[in-house]
Amino acid sequence: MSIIEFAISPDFRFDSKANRYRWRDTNKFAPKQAILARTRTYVDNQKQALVQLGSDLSDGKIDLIKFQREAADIVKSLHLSQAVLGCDGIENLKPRDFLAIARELKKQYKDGKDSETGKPFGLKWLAQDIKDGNVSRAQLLNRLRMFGDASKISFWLMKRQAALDGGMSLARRILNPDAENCPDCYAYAQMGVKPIADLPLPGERCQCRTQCQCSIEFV
Amino acid sequence: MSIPEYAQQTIATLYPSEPTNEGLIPAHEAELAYQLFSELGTVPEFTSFAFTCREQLLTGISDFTESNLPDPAALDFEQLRKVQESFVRYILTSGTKGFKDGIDEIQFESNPLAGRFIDRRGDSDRVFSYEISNELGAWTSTVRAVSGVSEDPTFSEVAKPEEVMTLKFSESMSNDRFKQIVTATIREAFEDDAVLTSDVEPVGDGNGWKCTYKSGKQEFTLEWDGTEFTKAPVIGGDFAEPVEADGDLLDDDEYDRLSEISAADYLKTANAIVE
Repeated sequence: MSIIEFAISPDFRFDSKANRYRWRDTNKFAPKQAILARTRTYVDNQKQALVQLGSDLSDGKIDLIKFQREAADIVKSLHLSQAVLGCDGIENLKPRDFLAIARELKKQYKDGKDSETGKPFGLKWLAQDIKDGNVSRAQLLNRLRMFGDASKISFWLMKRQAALDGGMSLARRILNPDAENCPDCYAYAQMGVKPIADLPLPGERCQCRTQCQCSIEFV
Repeated sequence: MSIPEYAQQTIATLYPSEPTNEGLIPAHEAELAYQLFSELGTVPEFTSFAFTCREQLLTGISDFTESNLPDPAALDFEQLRKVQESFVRYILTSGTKGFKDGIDEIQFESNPLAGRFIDRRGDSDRVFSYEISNELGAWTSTVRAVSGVSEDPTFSEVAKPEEVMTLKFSESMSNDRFKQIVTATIREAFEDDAVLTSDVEPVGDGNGWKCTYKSGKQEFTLEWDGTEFTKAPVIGGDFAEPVEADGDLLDDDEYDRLSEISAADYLKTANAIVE
C-alpha cells in the first residue's frame, strides 16, 4: 500500500457507545472532515451498487424478490448516510431524525406521488412495472439512478431541522448558476426569503425532480 | 469479419501505406481494406487492377477515370463505378469519426468526391451529403445531414469535442445542456444515433467523465479521462426487450417493515461508511 493510498483509506472504526468514529490504532476520535469525506464516497458507491442491482436483475442473476429487498436496503443506507452528511456528522443524528428518514423511505418504497404528474412512485411501483414487462434495461437503470439521487432529500431534511433547532425561521432558494434550472426552481428563487415551511426543499415540487441542483440558505 | 491469411498478405501487398486519416484504427482499417479488396475481386486481373487503383487512390481520385484503367477490357463502366463507390465508402467510414451506422446507397454524378449517401431506417431514410478531399496525401471527409434527421433536435447541436474537453466536472454536468453536448460529441466522434442512457458522471480528479449510451440496440460505456476516450460495449444490453424477472412482489406490510430504521440498520451504515 502506498502512502497516498493510506492517506485516503484511514483505518477508522465506529464506536457505537460514543457514537463517534475513532482511529483504530490510537483510539483517538477521528477527524470529522475525514469521516464526512468517507461518507460522501460511500454515498457514491451505494448509488453505483443500486444501478448494479438493476443489471443483476436484468441479467437474471437475482429474482424480483431479492431485487426489491436489496434495493430497499441500499436506498435506506443512502438516506441514512445523506442524513449523516446533512446533520454534519453521525454524532448529531437524533432519534426524531430517524423518524423523518423513515417517513421519506416510505415514500421511496411505496407511498411516493409525483408532484408534477400525480402518479405514484416507489420501489413497489418499479417492481410492478418490471413484472408487467414495461421496463427496459435502460429504463430500469435510469430509474434506479433516480432513486439514488433522490436520497439527497434526506440531506436537506436534516439541514432544515438543524436550522429550526438553531432558531432560524427563514430560508431562500439558491440556484446553481452552472445548472439548467427548471421554471419551478426559478420561481422559488424569485420568492426571496420566506418562512422555512413555505419553501420546498431541492428536488421537491419541481420539474428537475432528483436532478435539482439548487441549495437552500437558512437565515 | 475475420481476414484469411492469404487476404492479409494481399492487403499488405496492396496497401503498404494507408490513406492517412487521423485516428484510423489498424484492425478496423484492415477490415475496410479487405472489404474494398473483396469488392474489387480476387481474380488475378482484378488484383492487378486493384493495385493500380490503390496507387490512384493515393494520388487523387479525380484522375481515376475509365480512360486510364490499366486493363479496360477487364472492366466495364459498372465495375468502375463499383470501385469508386468502394473507395467513397472506405473514406466515409474510416477513422474514429467515420460514419458507422451503415451506408445503404451512395449517389454521385461523374465526380465521386462529392455526392450523397442514404442510411435507410425502416420507413424513413436519412440522407447526408458528403465531400471528400485530399490534402498532402491525407484524405478527409465532411458529412452534413440533408434530410431525415431534422426531427432529432440534438443532432443539430453544434458541439465540438474541444468544448467537452475544456469542461470540468461539476454537479451541473448532469444537466440537460451538458448531456446535449456530450451526446453531440459522441455522435460526431462515434455513432451518430447515440442516445445517452445515463447521467454524465465524474472520473478521476474531475477532468474526466463517463456515461453510457445506446446506438441501435447496443449499449456502450464511454469514458473521457481528460486525454482520450475509452469505449466498451455493455454486454447483455438490449433496449428493445423488457427486463424479465422471476419472483413476486413484496406486499405493503413488508415495505412498511423495511422502512423502519433499526439499531442494526444504523450500525450497519455507520460501519459501512469506513469499511
